[in-house]
Amino acid sequence: MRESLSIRATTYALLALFVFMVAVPLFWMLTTALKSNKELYEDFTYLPHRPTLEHFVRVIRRDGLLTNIWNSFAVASVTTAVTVVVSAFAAFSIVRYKYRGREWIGRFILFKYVLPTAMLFVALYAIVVALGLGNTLKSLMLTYLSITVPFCTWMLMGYFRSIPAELEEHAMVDGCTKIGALFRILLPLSAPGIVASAIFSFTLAWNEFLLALVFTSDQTTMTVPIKLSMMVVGDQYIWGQLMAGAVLATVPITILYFLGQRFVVQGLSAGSVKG
Amino acid sequence: MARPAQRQTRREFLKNSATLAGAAATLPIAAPAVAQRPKLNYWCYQFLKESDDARANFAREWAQKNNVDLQITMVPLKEFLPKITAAIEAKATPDIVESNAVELRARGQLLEVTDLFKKLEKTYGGWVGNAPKVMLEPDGRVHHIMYGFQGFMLITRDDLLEKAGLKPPPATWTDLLAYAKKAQQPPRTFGLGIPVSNQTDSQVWEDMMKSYGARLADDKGKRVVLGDYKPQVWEFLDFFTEVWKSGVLPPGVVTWDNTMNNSTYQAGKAVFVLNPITISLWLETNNPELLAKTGHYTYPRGPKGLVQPVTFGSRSIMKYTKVPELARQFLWDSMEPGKMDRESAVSQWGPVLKDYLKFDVWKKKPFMKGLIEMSQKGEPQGWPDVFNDAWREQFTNTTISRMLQRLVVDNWSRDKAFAEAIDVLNKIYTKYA
Amino acid sequence: MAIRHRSVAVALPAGSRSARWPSARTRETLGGIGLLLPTVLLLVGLVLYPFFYAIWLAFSDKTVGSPGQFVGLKNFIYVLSWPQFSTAVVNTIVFTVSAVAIKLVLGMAVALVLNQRIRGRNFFRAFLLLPWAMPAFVVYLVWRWLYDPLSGLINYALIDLGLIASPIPFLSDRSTAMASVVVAHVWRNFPFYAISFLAGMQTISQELYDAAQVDGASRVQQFRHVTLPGLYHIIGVVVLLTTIWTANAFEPVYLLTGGGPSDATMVYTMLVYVMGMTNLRLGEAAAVSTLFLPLLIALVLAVTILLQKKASA
Repeated sequence: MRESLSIRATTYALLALFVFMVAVPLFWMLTTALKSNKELYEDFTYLPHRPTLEHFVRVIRRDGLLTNIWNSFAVASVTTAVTVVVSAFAAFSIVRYKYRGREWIGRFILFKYVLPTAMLFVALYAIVVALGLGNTLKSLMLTYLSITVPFCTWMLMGYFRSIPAELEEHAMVDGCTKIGALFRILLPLSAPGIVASAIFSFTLAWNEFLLALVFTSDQTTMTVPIKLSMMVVGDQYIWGQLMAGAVLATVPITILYFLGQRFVVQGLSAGSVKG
Repeated sequence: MARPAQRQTRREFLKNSATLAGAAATLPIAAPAVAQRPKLNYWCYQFLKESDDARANFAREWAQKNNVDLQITMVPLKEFLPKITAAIEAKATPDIVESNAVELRARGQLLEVTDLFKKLEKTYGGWVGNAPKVMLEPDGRVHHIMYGFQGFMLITRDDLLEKAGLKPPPATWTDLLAYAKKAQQPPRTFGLGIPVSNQTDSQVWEDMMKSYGARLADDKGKRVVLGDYKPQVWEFLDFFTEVWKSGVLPPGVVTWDNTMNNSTYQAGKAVFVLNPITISLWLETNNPELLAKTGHYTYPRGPKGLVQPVTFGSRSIMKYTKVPELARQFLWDSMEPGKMDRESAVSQWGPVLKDYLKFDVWKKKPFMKGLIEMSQKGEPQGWPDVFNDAWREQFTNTTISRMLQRLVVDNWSRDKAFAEAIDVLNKIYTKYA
Repeated sequence: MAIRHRSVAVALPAGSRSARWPSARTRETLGGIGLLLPTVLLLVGLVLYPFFYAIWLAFSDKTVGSPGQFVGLKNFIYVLSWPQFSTAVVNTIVFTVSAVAIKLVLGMAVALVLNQRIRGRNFFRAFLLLPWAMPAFVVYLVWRWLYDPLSGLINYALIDLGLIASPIPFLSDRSTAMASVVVAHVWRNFPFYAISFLAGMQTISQELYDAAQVDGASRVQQFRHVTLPGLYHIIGVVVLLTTIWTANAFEPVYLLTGGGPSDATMVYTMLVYVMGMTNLRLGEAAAVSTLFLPLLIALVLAVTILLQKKASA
């Protein structure tokens, strides 16, 4: 598989372009986080003249951002884990089982998204309170599922369909149960789809704003976006703190992206197609 | 917003209640009474760290003194409405809130506190300025207790005016424009940092229009009468066009949000802005040199007089509260002068009760002096229009500012823009008639 | 993703045919439904109920705290006669179509690049997802600042590079406002396309590419005839979903321009906000959303039926 020079050049040129596009705002965020308050309002500078870590310190010490990061992490992890399991079950059921009505579920599952959360949050909060989950992280873990599961189910449905059923059938002939085949054969081969679903769920849970705003009331349950929004006070943006907080909050999720995307590789599924 | 302190205090509470419960368990007779502590849920208005801390710390001390299990939630103004909407619908409301009293009062969500209003008036020397007008409803009832005046002031670069040979403050809007033109040095500094956008800092233009004699609705606040004031509106639009063409407004004002006039002034890029003293409080900590060059004045006059609007901070009790007496006690104790003295020193509020006028802070901080004048002379927002739901909705919709944008962004004729504004006002006011 | 749908034939040992209950068929149905149950419960409890409640709201005069009564089409008439309604519809369509189209192309390009064997691939795959890694409001506040004519990086850089003489008020000029909002929105959201397409590309067998290359196909032709068909399903889902999400986007407009200048970027979600959120009139707000429902539902139905047909083909 030789790649011509022009192909490689184009690839790297495009890569450079994309990296530049993404980097410019991120660069601005980082340098802002390192500028003192006074400097932020003086004449424009590209780089901080007197870089300072005061915003990071303040955001950790005075605002307790680490607690919020932990809250977000807990919610996002649980949501992601449960989403993957529930979606995998649902997708497996729709694709590999036969019973009446499964096509319809598959069809309607995406309807969830036609109404924005701004229309649904009042009713959702009523449900949360009725379940006694007001101001808990559990309320978020539960309601986020309703947003992540439909898409992930669809994603995995597509993935499962692309893997021939013979592989599972062979395994079952060898004594494996049907569910066992799901875990032993189908899921490993669908790793890229699983990872994409996980990334989607985690990101959504990490950044979700409206439900977290309404359902949480204090530091024990507040997630990162809400805490960051409190750095927009009245008619002032506390830029230094806001950017420092945003940079810190990006670290855990970036690590996850880095770890997860390694599984988005070919050869796990495609190579298994026997002619 | 000292989060660790808050958590510690809750641990203390838990420790206290655990000890109490343990002790109570050994006293079968006293057990029920002692182990049950009343719960108070307090949504604290969040806008300025020191001020927030003052209110929150007071609440915690009060809770400890009164043996109350307190839950505090800090709520920024922008986030209040969705939260309270969901809370009301889910029947999980807080006891005490500090935002949007007017909207909640109109929906019948608040507990009546007329007795508190009267008691405060008697005990602390009477209310300042137009505070009663803000709190009293047509039938004489009161549902929210003001704790501070807040108003837009004319915040001025006295040093730049001096350099241009001008003596502040400008007496009329026309003077303001003249001063702005003379003292500005674009593109470094612009004369006038007023938004003409879809955000509510653009409210200034409506106040200006009213100082030219126009008004939106009748004295009852029910019927839209703006159409009857065409001559006055046209005179105002002449002035606005002059401002727009003179170049004193910085680029981008048509999409400024409510923070832009702050940041523009704080960066030294505007000669005049109209804003609450949140700017001054920010400068106090971050740029005292600029604060030293800053003057604070009341609004300039229009041809038909002075329209100096004030807004306010107030505290109210949700009607669903299970502890009304406790909540009233909290409201009462929150107005105690000693406590308000400490809080006023770090907040942007003007005094609401005459006893507060004695505080040192008004003399100590020069920019606080203007607050007194404004509190005494200011009219409720929207004056001479009635400050009711309908007015509030058109205010949030920035009707007048949108009319101005039609002129300068879309190049509509005055008649067309005027007709649209009246149409929108009619649609809004009819809903509440 | 090449879609091959096969029915599962479970080979049963001969003896079990004599077992009467539970029959294989019942076991199958129960098993399938059992696996689906959590999802169904979620959907019914957390989706259907809020959904129908929101629709009921649109037909009621409900305001916060009061019970609300059925008022028929009153809210819809109010919303439809609002001066900015038709502008909001047009703007929403313009915003959605342009944003989705750009994200699609950009996302596909990024996925293609990240699918190649490049040095530091693991790092770049994580790096290019970063716009997605922070809360939306942070992104839009930063972009607002970047665009600012007095203190924004973009204008300063363009002037320092000598490309323009005086600052361009990107968000305040009718001719540039919508495009500027779209750019910021695309920046924030293209990673979703990229990661979905990248995942999808992994199911396309390398052998297909090899075969195509043997047949003398160029890279572009390989893309058209191997990659694209393989991604057909995922493209369909992603475009469908993001069309809905983009049409429902509120933060980009609210934070960048507030719908301005004038009504240049007023999209229907801003209308919902101005009409319902800020004045506690839930019925009116719901009516605005519900007006767009038929269109969005038709979209979902069309695409899902199409995709399922293709799947069973």
